[in-house]
Amino acid sequence: MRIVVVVLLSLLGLILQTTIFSHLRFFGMIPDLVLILTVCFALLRGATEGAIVGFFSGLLEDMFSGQSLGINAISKMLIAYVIGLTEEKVYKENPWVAVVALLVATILDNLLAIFLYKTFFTLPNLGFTTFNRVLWPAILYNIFLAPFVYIKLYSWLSKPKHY
Amino acid sequence: MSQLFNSRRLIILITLVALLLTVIGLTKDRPEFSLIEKAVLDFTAPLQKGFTKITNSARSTWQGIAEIRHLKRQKEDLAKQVRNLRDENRQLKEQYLENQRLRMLLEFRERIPYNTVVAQVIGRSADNWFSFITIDQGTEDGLKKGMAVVGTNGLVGQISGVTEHTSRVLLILDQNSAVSGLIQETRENGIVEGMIKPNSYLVMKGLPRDAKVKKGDHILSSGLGGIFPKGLFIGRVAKVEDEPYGISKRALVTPAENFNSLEEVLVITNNRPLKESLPGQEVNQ
Repeated sequence: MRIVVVVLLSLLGLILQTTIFSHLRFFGMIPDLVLILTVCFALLRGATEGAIVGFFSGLLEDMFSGQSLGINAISKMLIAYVIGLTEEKVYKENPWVAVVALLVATILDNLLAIFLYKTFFTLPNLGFTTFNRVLWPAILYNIFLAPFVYIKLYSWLSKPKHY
Repeated sequence: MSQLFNSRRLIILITLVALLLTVIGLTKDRPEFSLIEKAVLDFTAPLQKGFTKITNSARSTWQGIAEIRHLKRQKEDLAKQVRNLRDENRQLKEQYLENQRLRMLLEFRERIPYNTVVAQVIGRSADNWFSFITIDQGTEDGLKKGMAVVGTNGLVGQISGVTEHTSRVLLILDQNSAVSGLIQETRENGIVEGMIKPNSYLVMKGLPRDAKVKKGDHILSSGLGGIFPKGLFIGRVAKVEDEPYGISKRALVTPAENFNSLEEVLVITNNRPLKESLPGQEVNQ
């Protein structure tokens, strides 16, 4: 149930990313709400659930991006899995955990994406300069939004369940 | 790390990655969207449309607000500029008028055969009973009590009190003022006195019953009494009438000088003319 809700939230995030946030750019970049949601969820629920959310949310993102399916699914799933492995080792009450996690996750996500794009597509212009220009604003935007998402998710997931 | 390598889920993960890599390869050059993609995109399209609508209207509202702010700022700037320019314009106009007045005064000063000191009017009578002005020159500038004061149009009055840097000038309009006058056309003498306010006429008293004075005649100072030099223009006769007891005639005189707009005056510092001709004589010619 939680997984479905978070995947649906990712869908909402994607809609926001393609509408509102395309006007709220930071140095030309939009935030990766799917990554933020997936990573925060993985931090709170662990590697398995995180990876499942990452897989489906990433697949949705692939559908929205119009490229070949799977690139975001792989990166989100793997990142959520790795971040999720730390679930029991982190102090969950502290939203700074999300900031650090998103810092690592954004770098990994962009590295993976660039690696996969380079592997499957002929993109001669996609190099270190582009990567550098995209990465830093993306990191800042993501880590800025991360605590808000994390706090919301944390309070929702720590509520006692009645079903 | 053991959790990472020993877990069954790791096998699933690797399988999924491999599967996805295949999917990437397969969907790389696909001619059209898959059924699931179509369904997802169609499902989310109305939502996207709604959000875009909201975003656009928020954006246009924001732009409107920004534009209003910009216009407001521009308006304030322009209003300020207009204020400054108006101030500047006023000052320039004032300077222009002062310049004109001073030029007239200078021309007048050159015409009259006396030594004069230019003074600015800095104050006027504080009550309704007396008519005087205060000027910005005093004993330091060589001014003394009793000196005659003229404007560009005619006689103004005499200095009735003096300090180091200011002088009080009793206007010929004041009821306490008396100037020995001469009718230029008929050469008849009389005393020109001021009248109680709000009367702006002067009255020339002591004219003989058979005086030939008529409306429009010029009244000059006669020089008798030694205060006012001879030949300074006082005004024109406005009306001739009999004195209340019928012994003599009197003439109501419109002063030549406009006392309300007096701003600069000349103080005559020597009573004796430097040249032969007097302005009064010029009028006569």
